[in-house]
Amino acid sequence: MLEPTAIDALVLRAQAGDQEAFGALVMDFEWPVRAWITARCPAGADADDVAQTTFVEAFKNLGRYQVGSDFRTWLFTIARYQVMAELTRLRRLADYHERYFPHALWQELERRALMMDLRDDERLTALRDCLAALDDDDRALLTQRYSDEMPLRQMAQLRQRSEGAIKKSLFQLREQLHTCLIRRLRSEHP
Amino acid sequence: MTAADESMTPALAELWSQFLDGALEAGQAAELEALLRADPASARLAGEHYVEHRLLSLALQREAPGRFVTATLSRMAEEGRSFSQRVQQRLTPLQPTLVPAPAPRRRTPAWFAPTAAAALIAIITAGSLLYTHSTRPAQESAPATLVATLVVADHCVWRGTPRETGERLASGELELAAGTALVRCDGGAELLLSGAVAVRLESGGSAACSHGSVTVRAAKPVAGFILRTPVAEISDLGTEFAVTVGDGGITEVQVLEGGVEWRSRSAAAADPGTLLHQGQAVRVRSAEDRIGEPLPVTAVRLDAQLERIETGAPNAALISYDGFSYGFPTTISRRKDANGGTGWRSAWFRSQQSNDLVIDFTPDASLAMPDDLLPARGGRMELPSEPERPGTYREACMRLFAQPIAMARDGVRYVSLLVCRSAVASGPTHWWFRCMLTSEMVPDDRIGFGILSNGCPELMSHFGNSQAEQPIVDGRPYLFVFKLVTGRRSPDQAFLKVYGQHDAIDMHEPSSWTVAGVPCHFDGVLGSIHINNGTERAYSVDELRIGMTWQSVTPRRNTH
Repeated sequence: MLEPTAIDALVLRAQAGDQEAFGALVMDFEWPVRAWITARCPAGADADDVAQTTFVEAFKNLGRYQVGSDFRTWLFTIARYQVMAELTRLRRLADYHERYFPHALWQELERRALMMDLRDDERLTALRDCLAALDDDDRALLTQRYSDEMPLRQMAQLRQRSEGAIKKSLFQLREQLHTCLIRRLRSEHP
Repeated sequence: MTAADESMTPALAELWSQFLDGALEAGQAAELEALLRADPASARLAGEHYVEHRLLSLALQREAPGRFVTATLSRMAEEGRSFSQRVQQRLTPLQPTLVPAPAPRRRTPAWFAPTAAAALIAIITAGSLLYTHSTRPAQESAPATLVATLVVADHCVWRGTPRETGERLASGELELAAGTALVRCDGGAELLLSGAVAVRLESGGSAACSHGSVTVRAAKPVAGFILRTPVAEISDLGTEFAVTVGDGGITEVQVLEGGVEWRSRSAAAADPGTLLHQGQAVRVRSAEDRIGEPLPVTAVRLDAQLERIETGAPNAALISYDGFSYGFPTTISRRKDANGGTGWRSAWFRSQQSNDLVIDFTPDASLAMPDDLLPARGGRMELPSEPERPGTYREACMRLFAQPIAMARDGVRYVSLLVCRSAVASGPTHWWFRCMLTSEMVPDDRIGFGILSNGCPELMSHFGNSQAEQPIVDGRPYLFVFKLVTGRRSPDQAFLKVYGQHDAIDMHEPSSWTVAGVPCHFDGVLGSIHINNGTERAYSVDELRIGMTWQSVTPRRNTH
């Protein structure tokens, strides 16, 4: 991450119309912003679109940012607006509610969207480390589920296992990653 | 110990796993809901696990390095280019130019193969510099920007310029002496103004209120709407809130749903402000007041206020109507006997009023109106296919309406028409349909809507066309509602909303349109309607209405 003085120097250049400088800011804040937004958007929301909109809004309003104040906080205030707006949009989207999403979890996401806890990029980094420590077959299983969004039935057919076995593997892998994540975060912030 | 350190009970863990895998059955969903509701600690723990679940998707996302940055910068450049096009258009008012339709807003990121960053930066710099540096001079020299639409006006007495329902509103002062008005900002927020109130529309995403009462509701995924008063700035966080500004600028903020953030006007821009949640209210007495005084919430929800509004009898604003209740299956132009309905200067004819071209109807068989609306009665007009005829189109069925539309005057017109495309084609190509408002003197001056051969609804004018992405289904009736905003100094623009039979019809003008047309400028006088189709696909049309309000062309069952 860039130092605050380096960030402000880029902001000053971007305010003067230097596109390359803003590109450098996007590069520096890409993962913190994407992680923070993804962690607060339910499945079905386009978190990357919200993240892009955040940067576009930041660029449009760059003139309002006062150099010397905290750019990270300012940027995440915009991200918070965008996430709240996305949650409101989804809440009003009739077809979104055709799929089940626990009301209490929804309220929890809204509560988190109002909190300025900015450590999700640390979690993401730790999670990547934990994923790297898995064996290849386990990582491939998670990739099919989370990246390829493959239905359980198809995964079961592909691996010649029952759906129940696939569910159980996913459950165990999530538990394993959770434990790994807690351990890594605790070692960084004892 | 944090929530993340805790463990789920076996029962919760089992249900949770099923939920994450999308395999939860109805009974299990109720059980999970009950467990999370009963124990806030479980809900927080579920929140922690859900964060991990979502981050896992991000961590496993397959993407080339730098794609997000490239796509973001590309989008900025794209928005910058559209902005500069709009500026150029405003700087050359009343000069017809062909303006390309704006690119549709993408919900998904515009991922594309990464290119060298330096090359991309060079490409986008031109657009972005215009974006950054053209803003001020353009705003100073160009006519005011259109930022909102007046959706409802109930017994309104305006100070200054009188306003018309459906009118596009420019940035600037809007002062109501009495009545109730619903203003929909282009950024998505809706402002309900009640009684004596003065606001200044600043942009599609912000306004200032100097006195009176405003209720604000966010409606779209945009940056938080900002309402400024003399003493405070209130930022919407996806919510509904009411603001009253009294003497000396004393401001009361009441949150009716969601949350807002407020800060006093003297606070620094970096000040994070104070959050107010649903059911909370505060009175801010001065620009230096950073704490505010708690209040009970007494404001009425926006929908409840709207329900009290009388929008007037729809027929009062209806200018022309034809339900096609003709007792004969065919006639010819020369007979001039297809002259039913009200608000017309001629009978139906094809191309010329005195020729022998046939006009077809089906007596006593209407198309089905959408469920919410008054049912159609009588017959319908037919536009058969003519596969044996060379050429691409049939001669249009035309009619002159009693109140021509002067495009150079400020005004709003709505046209609604039921349209059904035959499920059967008689050839492979020419399947389109058009309904155009046309000048009697200059036939090229025309604007209207239609259906492309691929089934997608479309807005058309000689300035350029815009089309929807979703096609209609053949054999089913659709209600097309067309809005035309005309202006002396502001651009003319058309909008189209298409409803299927079982779609809910908006009570007021909708917040999103199926297609929004290209802003353009032309001064013609539109005096006739032309309806025609390609030679290889038949259409039926019914219930043609031209009116001055949304309600006049979408008469609801319960209004009669």
